[in-house]
Amino acid sequence: MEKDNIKVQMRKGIMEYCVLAILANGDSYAPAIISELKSAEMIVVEGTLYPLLTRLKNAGYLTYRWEESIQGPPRKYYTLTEDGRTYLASLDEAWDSLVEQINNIRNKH
Amino acid sequence: MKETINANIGQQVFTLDRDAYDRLTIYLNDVRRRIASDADEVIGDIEIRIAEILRESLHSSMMVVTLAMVNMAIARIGAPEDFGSATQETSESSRGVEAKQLRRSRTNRSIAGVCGGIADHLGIDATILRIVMLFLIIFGGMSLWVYIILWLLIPEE
Repeated sequence: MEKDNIKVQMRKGIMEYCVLAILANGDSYAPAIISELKSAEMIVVEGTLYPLLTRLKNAGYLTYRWEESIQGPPRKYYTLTEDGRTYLASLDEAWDSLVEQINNIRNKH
Repeated sequence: MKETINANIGQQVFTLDRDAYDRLTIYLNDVRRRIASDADEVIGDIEIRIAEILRESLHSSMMVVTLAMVNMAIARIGAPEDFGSATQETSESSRGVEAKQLRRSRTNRSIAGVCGGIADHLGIDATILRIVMLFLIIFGGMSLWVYIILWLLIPEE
């Protein structure tokens, strides 16, 4: 139980980073982002992505546009802004140094 | 035969069984209370997604959305608990409790409103508190001065 909780917290902490990284590969809309996060085992339920997308958008890291779809209603397509790219670069750096430090600790013994 | 309701979910028209409609309404309200900021926009996005999921499970637009379909959509979006705890409501109510100060009651009084005020503050029955206090004063050795000191210390409403 305790172990699972730490894993959940870790995933929560890097979910924002993952969403930005997915959008760096091209514009996307919520269900497509969800399926990528699901295949990476980052997300269990879809709903938690929506507050995150809105928060990132209001922070100026994302913008969106409405796009017609063949079946069903128009879709909200999210794009990374310039600010978003800068922010993602800083997260990339932080992630790399974190991995390096963890590896250093693990290889000491 | 079942009663149905027409509803607009994410700018699309759906016909729902009444129980399905009620379930979805309660669910969306519950989720809304748990979203800390920009709840309208987030709920709008979630509604659009629910509309998409329901559209997938309906074979034609003439079909009625059942409770099972709504439950399936909710299982995919996530339980309200997954959105965190209800931030707005709980913080407001706890603030209300903090702000409430101990005062001698004007309305609920036998002598000076001490028991009424304490009872109001703690949310218990004033009569029971009076009986306990009287019992303690007569049989329990509590001094009558305790009541008088409380009378002097606790300001009136």
